[in-house]
Amino acid sequence: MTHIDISSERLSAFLDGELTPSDMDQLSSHIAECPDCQNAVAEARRVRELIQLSLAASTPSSTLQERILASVTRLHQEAQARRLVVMYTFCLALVIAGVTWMVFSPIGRFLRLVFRLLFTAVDSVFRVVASTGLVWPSVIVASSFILGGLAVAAVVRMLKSSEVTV
Amino acid sequence: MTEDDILLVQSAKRGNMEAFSAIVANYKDFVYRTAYGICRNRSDAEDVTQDTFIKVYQAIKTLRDARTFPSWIARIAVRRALDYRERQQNRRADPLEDTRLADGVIPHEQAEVRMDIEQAMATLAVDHRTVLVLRELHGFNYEELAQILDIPVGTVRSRLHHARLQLRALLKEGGAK
Repeated sequence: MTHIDISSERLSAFLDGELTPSDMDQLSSHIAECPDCQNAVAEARRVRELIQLSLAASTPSSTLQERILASVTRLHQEAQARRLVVMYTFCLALVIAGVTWMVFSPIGRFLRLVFRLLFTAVDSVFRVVASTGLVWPSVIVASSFILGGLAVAAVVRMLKSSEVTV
Repeated sequence: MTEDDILLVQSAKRGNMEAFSAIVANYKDFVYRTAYGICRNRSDAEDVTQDTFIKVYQAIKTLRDARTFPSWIARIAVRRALDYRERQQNRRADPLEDTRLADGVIPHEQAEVRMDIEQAMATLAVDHRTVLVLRELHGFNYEELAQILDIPVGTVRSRLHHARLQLRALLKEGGAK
């Protein structure tokens, strides 16, 4: 077994554990018995330790992390804003397309007919009430029913939300 | 890479900003030291670190396997550092006195040795210095280095060897003086 030349690529690969297992075993056995090779390996290892110490010693400023997070947060918010704009634009386009379709399609014409019938029915009710002279009492009674209904719904909702779920 | 780190990366891939912030905290020194090893200038290294994390944020969804995150981020850091260095051709390395040292007092003798190493490292060709930094700082094997740098394994082996040879010669020269 020849000595390891300190300038050889083989020594570098040996230190990195990048030789084949059989080569590693062979070299390790030789080094265990050869003082010259032991010195070569020790010197190479010392240089490596110095390099590692030197590289590991440098540290960034204390504000670097904050700056990185500020930049990334800004990017994140911009990306979210862009997504919202795209979503709203898409929904708006969908609504416009839907309304246009409804207006011009046969179903749209049917819906317009239904709205006209409902409007006529409501208008007829108002005319009947007006002819009896009971417009304002009717308005007060109807408003009371509506407000009462809303109040009951609010109380029921409040009671439901205060229930404790086990 | 720990299990916690893998979970953080997977969470960040799904858009979780808290997980990404934790990744920044865990890897900023990793990226900074890689960048500093290549740029040899603190301000440039910090700019490169910031650019790297911005790129990581933009591209993390494309990372297929969370376990390859360290080599993936190293690849981004190296490319950013080399691009930055090309744009800043005339920038000099930091004088050693300005380089922030790790916590703890370094004895005078060790500081001198460190100065020698720093000066010797600055003399290396950037290709050699890059592969040396990645190997000695992060312990990547030759296959990983080849993937990160997009070069054959034989070139990795050769560059490492020549970088160490040159450093040894420079340190001997410095010692002799």
